[in-house]
Amino acid sequence: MPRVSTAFFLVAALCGLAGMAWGMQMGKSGDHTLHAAHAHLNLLGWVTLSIMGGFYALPGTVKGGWLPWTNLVLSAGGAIWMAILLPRVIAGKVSGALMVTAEAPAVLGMVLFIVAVLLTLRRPASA
Amino acid sequence: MSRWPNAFFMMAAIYIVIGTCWGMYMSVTHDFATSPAHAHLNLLGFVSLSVMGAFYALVGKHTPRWLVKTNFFLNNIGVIAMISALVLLFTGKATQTQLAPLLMLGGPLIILGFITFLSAVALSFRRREGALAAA
Repeated sequence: MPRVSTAFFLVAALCGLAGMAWGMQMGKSGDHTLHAAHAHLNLLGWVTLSIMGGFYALPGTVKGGWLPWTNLVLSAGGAIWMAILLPRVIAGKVSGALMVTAEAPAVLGMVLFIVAVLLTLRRPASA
Repeated sequence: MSRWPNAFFMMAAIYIVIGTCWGMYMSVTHDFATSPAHAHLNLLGFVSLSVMGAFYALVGKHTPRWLVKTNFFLNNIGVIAMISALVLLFTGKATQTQLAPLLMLGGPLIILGFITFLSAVALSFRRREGALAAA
């Protein structure tokens, strides 16, 4: 699993950096209406993607090429799209029903991660 | 292996012991005024430092030592400054204006810490470094 872990950590660090700059801006302006979007970017972007990257870095985890990369694309895409969409939903500019376009990839990514964990659990081969 | 990942986990463990005791204290006293500070201590102290420690232990093993150290000190000093300021703010012991120096120290230090972490990840990505390749 050479590069996918590093790719997870790369997107995670970018989300964390953006989320923290956003939080500092809220603290400075005193306007915390978007704090939910800030929290989701940090938890789905920074924390979740890092945990997944850490898992794929461990020896003995699933070796199939497409599964971790699809997991990354779905989870990262969901987290980033949610951070873009959620402020517009909170501001009432777009319908809340649109959130499903961010929720679906985020949930599917998590399902793929569970599949990867289960595959590793079933076959703890080279660990 | 370098002992720096242990240092990250050591500080993370200290923060989570404080953070969980703090949470229990809030729920016993029913005074949740400081809950945002508690959440930020747990996430910036425990979760973020653990993630960084795991990265340096598993993937970024060949990160230059000075970069790891810089990341460690920036994030730790930043978290301590930010949480102290938030506690004083939410308990009403000081105003935002009085705390401005401390807040203007903590936030940017944490951001800089994250930039150093991002650089370490980008470096290891460029080296095509992966879990198993970097044994």
